[in-house]
Amino acid sequence: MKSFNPEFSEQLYSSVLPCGIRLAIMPKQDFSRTEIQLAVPFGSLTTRAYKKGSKEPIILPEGMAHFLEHLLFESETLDIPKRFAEVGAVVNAYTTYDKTAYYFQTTSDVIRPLELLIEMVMTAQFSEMAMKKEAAIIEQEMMMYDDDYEQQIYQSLLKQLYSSHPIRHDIAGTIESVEATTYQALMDAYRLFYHPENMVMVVVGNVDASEIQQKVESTFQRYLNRVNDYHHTAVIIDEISKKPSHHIVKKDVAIPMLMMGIRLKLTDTKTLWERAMDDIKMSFLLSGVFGKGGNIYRDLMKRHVINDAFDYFSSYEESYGHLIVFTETKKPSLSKKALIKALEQIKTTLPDEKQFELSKRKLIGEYIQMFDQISQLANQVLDYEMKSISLFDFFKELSALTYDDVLKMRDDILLDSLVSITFSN
Amino acid sequence: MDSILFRSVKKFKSSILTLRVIAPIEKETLNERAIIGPVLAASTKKYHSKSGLSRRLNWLYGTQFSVYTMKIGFQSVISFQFVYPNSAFLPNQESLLEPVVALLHEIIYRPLILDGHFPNTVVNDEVRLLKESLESEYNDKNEYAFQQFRQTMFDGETYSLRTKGDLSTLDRLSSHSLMEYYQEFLKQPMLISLVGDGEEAMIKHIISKYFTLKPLNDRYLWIDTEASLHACPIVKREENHITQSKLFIGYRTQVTFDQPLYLAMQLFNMMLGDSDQSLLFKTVRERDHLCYSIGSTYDSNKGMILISMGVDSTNEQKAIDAVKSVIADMQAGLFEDSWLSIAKSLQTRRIQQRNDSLVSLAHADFYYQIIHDAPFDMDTWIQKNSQITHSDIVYCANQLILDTTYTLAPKEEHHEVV
Repeated sequence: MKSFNPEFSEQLYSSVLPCGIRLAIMPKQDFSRTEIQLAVPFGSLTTRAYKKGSKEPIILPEGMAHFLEHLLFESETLDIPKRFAEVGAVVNAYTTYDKTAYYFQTTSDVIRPLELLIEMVMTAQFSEMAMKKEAAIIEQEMMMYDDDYEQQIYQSLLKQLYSSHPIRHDIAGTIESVEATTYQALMDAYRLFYHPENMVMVVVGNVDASEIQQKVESTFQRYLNRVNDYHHTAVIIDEISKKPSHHIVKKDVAIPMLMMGIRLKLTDTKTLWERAMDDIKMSFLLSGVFGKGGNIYRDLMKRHVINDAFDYFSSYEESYGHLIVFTETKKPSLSKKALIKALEQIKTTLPDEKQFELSKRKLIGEYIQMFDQISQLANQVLDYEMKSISLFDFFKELSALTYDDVLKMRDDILLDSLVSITFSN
Repeated sequence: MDSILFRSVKKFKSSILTLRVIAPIEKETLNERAIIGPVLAASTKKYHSKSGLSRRLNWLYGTQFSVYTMKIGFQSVISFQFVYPNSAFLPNQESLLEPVVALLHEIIYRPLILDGHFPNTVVNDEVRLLKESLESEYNDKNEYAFQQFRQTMFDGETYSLRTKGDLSTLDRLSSHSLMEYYQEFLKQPMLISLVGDGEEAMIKHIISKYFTLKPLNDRYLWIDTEASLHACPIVKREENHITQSKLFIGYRTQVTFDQPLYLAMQLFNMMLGDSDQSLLFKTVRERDHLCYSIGSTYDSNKGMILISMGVDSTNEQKAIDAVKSVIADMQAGLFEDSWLSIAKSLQTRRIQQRNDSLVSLAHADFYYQIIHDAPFDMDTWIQKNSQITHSDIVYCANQLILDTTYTLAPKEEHHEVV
């Protein structure tokens, strides 16, 4: 299906190919760069998966999706990244909560690296020896994050905010969970998820859409002899605490760090589209309170309870939802009180209607600017395509949002679930 | 040199406008130059507070504004930068160019002044924010280790001065002293560049309505030639509450941006440690499994190559030895031509990709203009890249002089209470 957005002169070709993969192509012929991403819905939150016709879940250990991501670059006989480099492409990958994505960037021919990407993802070639080697590298990756206090405070917060949801765990798992993962378990998970019917591919850049479409279909034909056993995954949604909790952790810091989180109400009946829309509405609501244009932000700054490190964001997904505020502060307990009060104000006072209009104008500008950066655009399109959301239609609905739509979001903020973490000396 | 630079590019949906103010980098004015931009942007006659400015930027369809001070050679450059959507895509096709130029003018020339100086509250607020930002670098252990490395290697040199500011003298700054500096700042050479949508005559007309800019005729020192060579390489190891050792190895080279071998040195650096096809990545990570991240960077305004990585503390020496052996091999010409051709093709792609980013183009245009007196031209640089030979790389490798090895290592006892 081709969709055209005349206002922005952009085209997006999105379809499910006969081989089963969902493919979205946005040609940007004036650009040198092309980025192609290939994703499977296997991320760190994927801890229970069901095969077709089975009621017994397969339990997947922590960090498995990420470990597999590292291992698909390994081969006994081939230097996989070098093969990409030889045809003018740079290959890489990342694992998030809900997916593993493999991608390459190039400014030259895209067809050969496209074949290599599909081949790499569809033919796991790693050995048990490679597992040992990658486990050692992943251990260094984890140690690097251990020394990253912003990452640490975020992880500590999620651990307190959720009682059993897998979001509590690091995407990479733990050193122990990686070491305990067996070759057989990895291959089983690989066979379960890595089938074109479960995959999404996004192509943004200097390409010919029909040529790409044909190449993707013909290349995947080579891998259709495997059976797709995958049915669905499930996350057990945990109970939300009704009692705020505060934690102080001793760390070697020059200025204490404070992070606070609150759970958001989840409604089972919402579609992915509605949730994605809620996510934006929530960010509008928050920008009315914490945005630089608002009185509350100005007041918090004036009282020296926040500084330029101050940040806030919300996440609204199928199995989890929370909002988070962060600051560095020399007065952590005062900052905590002031931020709790500000969070309460979201529910008790009406947000600035004028700011809502301003946020909408800002959103329009940001949407326009999104088309200028190939990689960010590819990430954005991938996120939406994985939820079967059309980028253009979604924006159309966004521009019709009203102040009342945003106000309704206040009911979803569950203040009693508040958790604060302070890193201080 | 003309003080208005314009590059017309049609493929983007936004444009980028930058005002740059140039002065020599000096210890005495580091804090003034670090803070004058944020103070000017914090309150103007029309927008008394940051909230006012933020609302104005939202109104201008989320125009992004940033102000920062950077060092190029012996010069300090303060940039005021706006990225705004182009008129063709906005409701009613309104053009944001003039409102953005007017806002820039408001920030530079119409600060809020009370009793002849900036309001104390505004200056004190910005001093507090800068101070906390400098202090909190200690929280970021990798950044802290890097700053310790810099101070060790460049002690006493201009390069050790930081445009972000100097914590030890920040308290001396007052609203009065900053006001005096503002008068100086207004006399300093200014240049405006625009990359994106528009017609040259119209753009120059609009900018000239608000700004009277003089051509830039002075001689500037864009390359830092100072090098205090140590009698023997420095080795320093400090401890901190961390789990993984942060290792920095600094080399000096006399090849800088203004020299014919600059691009070959850039390519040498790419082969050494600036990609997943680099020899350091292939050796230290993929062969020896000593690290997750390893990389090298080349500062061509100074002539420095810096290798950085995170390793387990028991493997520090192994990692240092591996790095030295990779460099020794390159110095001896022991690398395959296929690696060179891969690095060349990678470098070509990086040059091409500059044309895909507004921010890179805005930077490259200014940079090439001031140093080579011509705007960035992709084809010329790709051509030069293709001519680099094996012996150029060997020559570059032999220009490296090991200067400083700095390690921030975990303390023997690891305290942590969770």
